Amino acid sequence: MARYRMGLSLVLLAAVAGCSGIDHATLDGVTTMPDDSTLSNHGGTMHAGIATGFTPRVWTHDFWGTHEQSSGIDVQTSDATVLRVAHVTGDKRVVVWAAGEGSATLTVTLDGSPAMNVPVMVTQPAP
Amino acid sequence: MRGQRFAWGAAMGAALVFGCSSSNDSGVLGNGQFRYLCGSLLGDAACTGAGSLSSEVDLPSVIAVGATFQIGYAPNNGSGGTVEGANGYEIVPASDELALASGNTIVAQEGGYVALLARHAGNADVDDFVHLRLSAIQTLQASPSSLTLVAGESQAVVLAAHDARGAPLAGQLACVWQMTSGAGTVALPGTPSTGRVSVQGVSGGTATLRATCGAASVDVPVTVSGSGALDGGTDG
Repeated sequence: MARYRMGLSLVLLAAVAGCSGIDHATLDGVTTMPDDSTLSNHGGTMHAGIATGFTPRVWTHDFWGTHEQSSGIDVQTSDATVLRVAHVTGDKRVVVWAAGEGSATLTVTLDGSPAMNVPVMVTQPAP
Repeated sequence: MRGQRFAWGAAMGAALVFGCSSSNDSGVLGNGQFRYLCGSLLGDAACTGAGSLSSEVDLPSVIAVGATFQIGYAPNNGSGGTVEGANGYEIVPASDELALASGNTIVAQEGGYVALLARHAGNADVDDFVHLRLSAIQTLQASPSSLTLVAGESQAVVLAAHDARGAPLAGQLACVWQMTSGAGTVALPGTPSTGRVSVQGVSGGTATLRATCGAASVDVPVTVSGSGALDGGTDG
């Protein structure tokens, strides 16, 4: 019986401690861009000069299920000469804008840990 | 009263020509309103008619590459209006390739859409943004298209610019004015560099005035009659 309890405890401990972490992330409510620029969870192509806003959302999972996080979420760019990011005043949205031609990666983080990488290519301005 | 009505009508007319509507002024994020400022830049076709009645108009549909313009931003207040005269915001173009800014004065550099971000001065937060379309000048129209002057008389010539799609272009144009024939017949006081010039008849004869803005140019034939006081004539 004691062995059974110990085994069950170990299974529960492993489930709680070892199986928790970031589940997935999304870019929610990406605003419409005036040309054929696009941005989605999987990647994007933007013309230089274009901006878009969205809400980054992150879910974690643990033994009890999947939970959306409400704080500690940020978005970073790998190259600010190509793609820039700023927080929106007073809410959880961010604005991303294409500053110059090239490639950059948007990284959504939760408490500093990467939750999602979105590759973005910035091309010359649309005529 | 009649002048005020005329100013309102002219402002409305300019708004119609430039395809403006109040919905153009709302930022994409819904946090504030962007306005096109007419206060200190002369010769901007989007501001024609605004006069002293209004120092700002709705955002124009298209702005000329090479032109200078000014943008203001007012955040929304809690009751659905805007906070007039709000400061603490700077207007930042999304890309220096398309537009360069100094304060709220912006110079269009290249054709395409450019986002203008209203950013809090002192921190990196963005309050809202709006996209404007910039387009190269394809054609110029001079108004009047020709001049007939008496020596000593002055008259203004104003340019209207259009892009390849025929859309009227806003912004204070950057232009070079020169006489291609008839030098000495007319004078251009000062050093005109915008889409508006004052032409002064000097002595009898004909001349051709050429304006070049970007890659487009237009010729304005000028006929001056008489020999005015400016060249030592006897009729003044």
